[in-house]
Amino acid sequence: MRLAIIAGLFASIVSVQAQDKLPVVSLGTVLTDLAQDVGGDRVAITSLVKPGQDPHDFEPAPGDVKAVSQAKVVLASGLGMESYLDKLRQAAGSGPSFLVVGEKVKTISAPEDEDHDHDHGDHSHHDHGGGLDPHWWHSIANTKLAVRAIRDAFIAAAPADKAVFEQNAKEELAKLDELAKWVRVEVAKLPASKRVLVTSHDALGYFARDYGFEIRPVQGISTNDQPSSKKVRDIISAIKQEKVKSIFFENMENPKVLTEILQETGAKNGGVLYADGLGEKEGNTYDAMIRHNVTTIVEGLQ
Amino acid sequence: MDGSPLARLVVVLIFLVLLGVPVVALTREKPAVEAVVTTPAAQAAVQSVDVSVTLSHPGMVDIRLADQVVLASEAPTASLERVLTVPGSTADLTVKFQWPDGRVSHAGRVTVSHDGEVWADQTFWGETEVVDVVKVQEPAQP
Repeated sequence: MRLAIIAGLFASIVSVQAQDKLPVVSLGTVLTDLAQDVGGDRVAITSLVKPGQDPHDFEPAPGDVKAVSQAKVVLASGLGMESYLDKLRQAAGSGPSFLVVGEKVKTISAPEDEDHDHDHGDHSHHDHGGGLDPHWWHSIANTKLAVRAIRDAFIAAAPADKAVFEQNAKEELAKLDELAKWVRVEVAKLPASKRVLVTSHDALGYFARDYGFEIRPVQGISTNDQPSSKKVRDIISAIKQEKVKSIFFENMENPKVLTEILQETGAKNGGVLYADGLGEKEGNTYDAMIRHNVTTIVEGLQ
Repeated sequence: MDGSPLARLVVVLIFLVLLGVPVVALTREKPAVEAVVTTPAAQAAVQSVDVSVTLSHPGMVDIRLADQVVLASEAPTASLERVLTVPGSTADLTVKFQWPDGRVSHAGRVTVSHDGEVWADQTFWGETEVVDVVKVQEPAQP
C-alpha cells in the first residue's frame, strides 16, 4: 500500500513536470535542434519532420495537426518551405503561436530558373516563397537571428522561464560565433578560383553569398524541380570549361543526373552534403551539419 | 528639275540609296559574340598589395593565402611588412598569432593596402593564440 502511494506520488510529480514544459512543435530539423538548445529541459518538442526526411515533400498527417493544435509554439522555416503552412494554421485554430523564422532572417532571392521542369506530383500548389530562397540556415548569421527569434517566442509563451531561455540562447549564440570563425578559416583554404559548387539542387545560396562561392545547381530551388536536358548539357560544358574538380551529392536526392554528369565530365564525387536539413547519423546537429558540409566542400575542391 | 526625267531618276536613286543604308545595317549578319562567363576564375587577375602586421606584444606571425604560407616570422616580432600578390580584387588571408606570454590579452592588427588605398584593416584579440581570416577586398567605387 505504502509502495503504491509512493509510486502514485512519483507518477503525479513526473506528470506535473511534463505538463510544466512548454509544448513546441517544429516543422524543420534545424529548427528542432536550435529550439532544443534554447529551450533546454523547459520545452517538450515534437518534431514533425524527421532527420533525413525531405522537407520539400513533407505533408502533415491528421495526427500531426492534433499535435500542432495542442502546442503553445509552432516553429516553421517559412519562405515557401512548408507549402501546407496556411492550411495548418487554419486547422490548428487560435491556440498555438506560430513563429515563421524566415520572416526574421536576411533573405536572398531564389535564382530565376526557366530551364527546369516541375515534377509537382502532389505538390502542384507549392510556391517558392515569393521568389525567396527558403534555405536560410546555411548562413550562420541567419541562424543567430533564428536563435534570438526562438528565444523571444519561448519567453512570450512561458515568461516564468525567461532567465533559462536567455542564458541558453546566449550560450548558443557564442557557439555559433565559434562555428562561424571555424568556417571562415576552413573556407579560406580555397582560393577564389576554386569556389564553384556543383550540387544537386539550389539549396546553398546563402552559404555561397557568405563565402564567395558560385553555385551551379542541377535542379532548381526545390527538390521537385527537374533539370531540362539543355541545362544538364550547359552544366557539363561549364564544369569542363572551368575545370571543376568535384561535384557534390545531397543526402536526400536521387543521384541519377549527377552520376551522369560525373561520367561525362570526369569530375570526382566530392561527397554528400546536408542541404535540406539535418542527417540521421552524421550531421545530426546544426553544428555537425555545418562542419560536415564545409569539410566536404573544402576537401573536395582543394 | 520638274521637267527633266533624268533629274527625277537621280533624285529617286539617291532616295533609294539613303533608304537602303539603315536596312543593310539592320539586316547585316553580326559576328557571334561569345557569352562572358563571370566565374571566379575569370575574375582572377593578379594584384600587388602591401601587408602590414602590428602586435601589441611580440609574438609569432603566420599568414596564409589559400593554405600556403605567404608571410611568417622566424622569431617573436612586434611588426612585419611585406608586399604580396593576390589573385584578383578579393582574397582571404588566414592569420595566426601566437604569444609565448599568454597571461594577458594581446592584440594583433593586419592592414592590407593597394596603391595607398586600404583594402582591409582588422584587429584580433587573444591570449595565447588567435586564428582568423582577413577579408581583403577592393573597396567599391562610388
